[in-house]
Amino acid sequence: MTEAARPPIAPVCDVQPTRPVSVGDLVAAVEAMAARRLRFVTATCLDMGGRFDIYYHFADGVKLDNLLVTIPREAELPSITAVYLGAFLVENEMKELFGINVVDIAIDYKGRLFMTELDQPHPMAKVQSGATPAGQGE
Amino acid sequence: MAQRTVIPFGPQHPVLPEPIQLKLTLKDEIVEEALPHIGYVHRGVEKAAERMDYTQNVFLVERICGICSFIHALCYCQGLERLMGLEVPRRAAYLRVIWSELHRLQSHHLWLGLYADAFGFESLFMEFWRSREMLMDIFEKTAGSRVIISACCIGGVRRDISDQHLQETLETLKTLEAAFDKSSEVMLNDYTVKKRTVGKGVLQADKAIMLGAAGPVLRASGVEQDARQTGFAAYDELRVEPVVETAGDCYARAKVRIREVRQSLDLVRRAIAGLPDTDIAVRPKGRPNGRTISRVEQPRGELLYFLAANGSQKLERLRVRTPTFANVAPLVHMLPGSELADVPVIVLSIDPCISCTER
Amino acid sequence: MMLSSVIRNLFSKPATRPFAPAARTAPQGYRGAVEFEEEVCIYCGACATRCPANAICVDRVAKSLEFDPFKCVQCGACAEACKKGCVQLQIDYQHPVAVRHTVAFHGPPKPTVAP
Repeated sequence: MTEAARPPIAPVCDVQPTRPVSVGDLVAAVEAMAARRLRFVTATCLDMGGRFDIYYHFADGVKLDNLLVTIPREAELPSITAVYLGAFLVENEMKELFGINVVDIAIDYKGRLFMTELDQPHPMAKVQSGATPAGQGE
Repeated sequence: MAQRTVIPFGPQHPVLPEPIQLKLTLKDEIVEEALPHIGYVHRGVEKAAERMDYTQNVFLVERICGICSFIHALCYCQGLERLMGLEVPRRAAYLRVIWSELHRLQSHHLWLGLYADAFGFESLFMEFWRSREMLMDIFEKTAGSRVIISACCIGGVRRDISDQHLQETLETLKTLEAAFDKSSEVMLNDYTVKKRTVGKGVLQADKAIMLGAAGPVLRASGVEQDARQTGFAAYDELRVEPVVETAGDCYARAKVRIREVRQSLDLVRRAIAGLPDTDIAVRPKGRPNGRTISRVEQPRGELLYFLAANGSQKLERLRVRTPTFANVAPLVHMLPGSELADVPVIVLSIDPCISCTER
Repeated sequence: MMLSSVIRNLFSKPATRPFAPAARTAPQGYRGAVEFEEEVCIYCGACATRCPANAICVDRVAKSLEFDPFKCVQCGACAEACKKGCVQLQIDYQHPVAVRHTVAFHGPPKPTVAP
């Protein structure tokens, strides 16, 4: 199709403002957000192959404020539920769908939020441990 | 000595149309702890979105939620338009507002009906749903389908609304408003209804922010936040003042929605009056590349899409954060201390959409 | 309010209508069942590429088209993509049937048609 012939356009990155923080400083940075009375919106996890990019979105009035944590695969990610309890669903989701090792979640479903023991673990992860993912969709 | 009992509330419960299970720990009749369990309708939409073409995804994201299908598509298209540098024609932006607000009207009518049903007021439920049919007919006429209206596309809207249909819509809204005046009067002033809702499931403003509540739940607690203030689509011209109540109980949440219905009626009328005469869509050029966040206001609250694209036919990541996903934590906070008989009303008061939550 | 609503509902006609004898026709522009016009089709595959439900399969070499109406979600993307006006959405909805089937057709290989 002609679609395939289209040249890719220049990348736009307007996830602004985004402040990168290290894993060790994450909880402290989130506490600073809580001290400013920002509302926790959600977290977004991107599987970049060898690493995970995790954005934490906070609402400052109508504007958004974001934190970006980059962790290698297999690394531990501290939970922020001690500060923002509302993050428990999204952290469980990251743990279950991407296989990120999130530790100390306040309400931990232990990988059984959406899935059962019969499902292929971590369907959203780009690198599958073990067998190739079973045919989905279609 | 009071004994503790654990009651599994849902996923099949007469009053709850949503597949969520709450494990309620009760001391006598008082809820001490509530633990939500979801996972009955997880469909893997985010994964499917990575496997499909980005143009096909418009139809996929609409199916996340039937009640606010148009707004899902709008949020997705808006994000892609930002990545592709498209400027939507003004008429399309106004038409998007019209359909969005009609969807909000429709969703709030649905909710008000279900809410009335939750405390056993069947005839009020019927009244609201009778009115809702008028809105569904408008969708059928203007967009070609009652629920999944598929009117949004990347770069604009797929079809125009003719002047005749706009006039008919205004006529219908007049009838709708007259019916709504009567039914909302009961919802706000009836002695029995107030007895069931005032002071139930209170959420303070401070807690609402810390637990990340969204939409009417947040605004009923006195926090003035509405994603429409960001001025997406044509909301930059049609200014929206957030509807705020301060009590934070079930009654306040119903009141916020009732006032939002009036606000939506006003918005549709203003949008129709100021509808510019331009094209309705621009052709998308190139392929999306980069990362962006798109936020819109759904009837249930703020909807956030995170889009990551790498210049290919398929998106790298589509993250959907729906309002109910955010409102589960406030719900878990509201339930302890309430009576078992009030649990359905409190659960309904956040307007739960579990299909949205699980995607 | 209650009394007026009781009186109104007692003496008014039902809000619903009996389906089979008084079935309503959908308004103009309704997205109903998808129909193909075999004679017009050039087997370009535009509809199949756009279809979000993978309901259409087009073989451009063998000039054949297969459509599964039970996968179809009536979004109308195929009708928009078709340059020849071969795909059309009917006003009537997709009727239920007892046995699942697909719609398939193929054209005679015409030398004038570009693939």
